[in-house]
Amino acid sequence: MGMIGANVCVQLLITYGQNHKKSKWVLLRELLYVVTLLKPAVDAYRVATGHEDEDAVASPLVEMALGKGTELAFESIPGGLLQTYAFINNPKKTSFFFISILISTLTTGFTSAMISYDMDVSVANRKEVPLFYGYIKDGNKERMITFILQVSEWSGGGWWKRNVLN
Amino acid sequence: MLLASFHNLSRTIGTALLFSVSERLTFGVILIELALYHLYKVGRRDYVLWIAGFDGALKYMCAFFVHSVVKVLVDYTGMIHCRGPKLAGGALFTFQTIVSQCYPFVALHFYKTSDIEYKADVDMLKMAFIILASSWFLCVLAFLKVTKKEVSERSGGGLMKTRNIYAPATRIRATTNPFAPSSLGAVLAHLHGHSYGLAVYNRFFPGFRRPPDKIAHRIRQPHQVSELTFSPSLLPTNFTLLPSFTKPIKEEVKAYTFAHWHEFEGMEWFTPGFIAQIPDEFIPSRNLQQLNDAAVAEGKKEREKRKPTSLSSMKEVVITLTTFDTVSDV
Repeated sequence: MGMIGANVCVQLLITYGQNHKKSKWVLLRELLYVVTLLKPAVDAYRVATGHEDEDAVASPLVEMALGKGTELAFESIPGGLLQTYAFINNPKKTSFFFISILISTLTTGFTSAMISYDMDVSVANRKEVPLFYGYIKDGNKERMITFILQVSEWSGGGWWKRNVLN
Repeated sequence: MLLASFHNLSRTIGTALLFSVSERLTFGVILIELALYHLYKVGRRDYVLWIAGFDGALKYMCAFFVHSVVKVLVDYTGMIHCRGPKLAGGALFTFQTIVSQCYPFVALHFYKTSDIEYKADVDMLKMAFIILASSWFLCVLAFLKVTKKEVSERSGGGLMKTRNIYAPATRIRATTNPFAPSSLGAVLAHLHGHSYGLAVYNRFFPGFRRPPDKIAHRIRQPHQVSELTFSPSLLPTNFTLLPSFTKPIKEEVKAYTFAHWHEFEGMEWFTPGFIAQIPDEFIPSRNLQQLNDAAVAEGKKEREKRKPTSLSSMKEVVITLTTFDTVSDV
């Protein structure tokens, strides 16, 4: 609960910073999205539809990345750490715990990877800072290979847990 | 992207092992690491530079928050995006990534010498960590293989994208690099061409290791430098930065904006909101007068200027939000 609470508080601050130039009703609406946990869906919708807002401090893509990053730092990573700690110190190492940790690790890594991926494949970012963005190749095949490598690496990392900690 | 899940697994287990040995030791290590990270940023005069729109204590609070979050993300997920000079920076990113890979081995050492109950097989753990580290290294190679190595045409032979992973540039250097698109340095190159490109390079990159003939080749082609690295979107990007970013090249930027103001007026990005971000001193006096006159005609005191956010202004909004009369507002 503490982790979720910390995440929501920081998300509220970020939302305030992003919308502080707007009217208080708009600000309240945006803060309500955070409290009702609808913020990720709203961010994703805005990015997908190319939403533009001159009064907002950052673009929807940056806002979404900030939200995801905050969620990782305040919720997913500490949560995964707590799970792993409990697993290591528990004399009964059940497969249920183990699967739960693997899912946490995968979702955390996936979210982190998606932030980098989204920022890199953004047309606007590649146009503005071509020396920094654009390391991911443009072809579908190359992107698929990158994704497969990511999944296989995760599976490889999970091997030792299955064989050592159990 | 490639390494995120893997990195997370490695660092999380290392920290969890250390936690199981001693919570005090783990918190101590985390705090020391965090303090060193912040000191490194302060030491490089790279702490609050890029956070625009904030003033006073809020500027430092935001910088502290952002740096701390970025450090956690790099440590626990190896997020590639954080390699940028505006976040962790290439050199620090690489260093932290390597530290994170060494972390489980250090944790294992403490775990081995501890007297905790239900201890796992240490030799097996060690072997597993070695396999994990080797896999990580192979993964890095695979990542470099599947990502772009060629330099994009528009970059004009500039730095490779993946080279950012270990590039030691600070935010100021990244901003003033005359060969980097969306940097003020590119504005200078566009303005002054060959001779100025060289002068700026010498001023800002005196000890930058690069083969001299490569530099000379790029500087000898001012047309390419200006055409390939300049775009109108440079200015919206750069005027939203803190003044300390532009301080070293302020006079050159002023000269540029004075000379090209009439061209900006036809641009799509040259909106009232954008003009409000430009300080008075960067606007030609005649145009500044026109803007102020127009504002006076509308009943305002002077032209619209974007004010930075401070803690006191935040308090005002919070008070307004918590005390406004719902019925009358509706």
